[in-house]
Amino acid sequence: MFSLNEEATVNLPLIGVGLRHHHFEDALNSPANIDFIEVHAENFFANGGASHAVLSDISQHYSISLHATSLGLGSALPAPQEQLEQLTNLVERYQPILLSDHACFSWAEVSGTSTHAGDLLPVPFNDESLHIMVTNVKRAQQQLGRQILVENLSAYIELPGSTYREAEFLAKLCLQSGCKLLIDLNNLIVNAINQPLLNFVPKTPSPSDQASILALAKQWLNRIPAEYVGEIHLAGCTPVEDGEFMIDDHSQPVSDTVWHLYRYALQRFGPIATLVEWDENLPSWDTLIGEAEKAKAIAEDVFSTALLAEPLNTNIEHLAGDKS
Amino acid sequence: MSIKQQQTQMLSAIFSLEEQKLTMTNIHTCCSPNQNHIAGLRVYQRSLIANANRALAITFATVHSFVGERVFMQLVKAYLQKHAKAQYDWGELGCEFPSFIRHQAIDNNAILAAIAQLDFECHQAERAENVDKDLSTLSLLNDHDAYLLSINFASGFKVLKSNHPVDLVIENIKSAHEKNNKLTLSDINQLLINPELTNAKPANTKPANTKTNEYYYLIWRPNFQAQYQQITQQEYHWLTLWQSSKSLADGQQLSIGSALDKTTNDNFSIIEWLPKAIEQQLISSISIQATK
Repeated sequence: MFSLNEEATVNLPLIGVGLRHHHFEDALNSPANIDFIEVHAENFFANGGASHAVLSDISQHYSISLHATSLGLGSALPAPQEQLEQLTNLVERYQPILLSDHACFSWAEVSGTSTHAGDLLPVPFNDESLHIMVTNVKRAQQQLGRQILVENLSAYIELPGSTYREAEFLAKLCLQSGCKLLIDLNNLIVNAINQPLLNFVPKTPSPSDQASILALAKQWLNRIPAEYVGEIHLAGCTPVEDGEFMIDDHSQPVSDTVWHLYRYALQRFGPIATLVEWDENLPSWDTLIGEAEKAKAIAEDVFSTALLAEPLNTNIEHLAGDKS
Repeated sequence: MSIKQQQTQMLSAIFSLEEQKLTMTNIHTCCSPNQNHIAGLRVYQRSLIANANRALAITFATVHSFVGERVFMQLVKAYLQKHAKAQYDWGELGCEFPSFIRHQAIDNNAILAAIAQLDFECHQAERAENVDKDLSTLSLLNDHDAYLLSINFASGFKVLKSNHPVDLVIENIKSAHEKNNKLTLSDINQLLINPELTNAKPANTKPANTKTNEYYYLIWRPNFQAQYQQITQQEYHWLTLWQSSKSLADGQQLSIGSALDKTTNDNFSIIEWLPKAIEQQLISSISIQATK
């Protein structure tokens, strides 16, 4: 393994980066001080060829996290068995330390044909949706033989019919299916910024109102029981002007707002495995690893402070009570 | 409305890829109608086109490089509107793209469709299951009955019949690109119509069957990159036997002897073919059949 964590402290989270094709060679040739690599599962659905050869090499040096984007766990039309079997084969082959997909729908019947959206589409947060997602997550976990993590979305449309807040919905999903959550902090910020566009809610913040955005995102985190959190995603995206949709394009360094929220999340949930995503406008490998090092520095600061100060549990209880 | 209906309507609205349809029926039923919902659906539509364009530009790299980004994206958009995206893996999208191109009102659609088919088969070859090589097994050819031996081909092995000399067209256009980086679409059209306009003819470009305008191609993956090569009609028939036998159940594997028996064309010579196939790593190994 390439990880240079010679004195891995038990209280520090695992920190990794998303690996894209552009960085394959760097990842193999430039040992990085990271704990794991995340790859998109679908990029390795081919039966053979170069992609598997590369991932086999990578897996000799780094622990692997498999992040799926296509199961559509909220789809009323369930994913085909062949798709689950392909993912199962990958899991068996690469033994990932983490395995995740999204709280979205992707499959539906269009003009009588099972159609895949190729995207992560939102669901309303109500009992019918919850039942569908719980059923699909249980089926996936049974097929895969392990617990999965389910990620919150950035959504650009809000379907009618929600009776729960998103965080409450996801907490119920964990309770009823036995999965855990992958909380994408940038998605929380993107959704908070896009709220006025989605809902015409007059008092929600504009992109320039950082304090209000952070407050909304912290409220979201406060509704999630710590025991349900299995991973955190960090990312940055292209800034927008007031009145425009912010798109979660993973094209920028992690923003100051997301770093601030990350510190809060670690205080709230403890040393949760953390991943930096960067998919568009890719930087150098060193820059990407630099983002992971920033995450590590924040985690070291949070948990060294926590050891010196009051017990973490007390801190969590205090934060959980903050419903403002 | 049930979740199932809501999801069907939202996906239909996205795949319509038409702004006027967004403002009409679909959006009123899947979501409450307002301008922001329309803006949200447009985000998903743009994402769909961008992702599909990226995926198909990888699979159909030659077509993409010939027609350019603008025309290619128009083709992608029209393709998504016509063909349901049944694949969950972007790498598998596009099996009907060649025939779709053939029926489009664009210049040289038939030749572009033939190039697209070759692109698709090469892409599939690069995703095909790995095949272990064991060249030591070639020695079995020396001392075993041909009816007991079978040939195991390289990953992605496939033969293809085309009405166009696609290898020649591709080589000529690539050569023209190298000589003049600013090749216009009309230049490409001229080359597609008459590929022999340039001097960059690859060796052995004589069509296998000029009477019927049929050209035959072999596709295989000796390592990680797919290769293709024009072959003779005799080789095509010989290799088609082996390609068909891949679908047979275990125990019914084709033997070299029985394949030769089925090769009615006297012009095929395994003595000539075998060394060439070994040299180009088309053959991965020779195996002994359990029963004669």
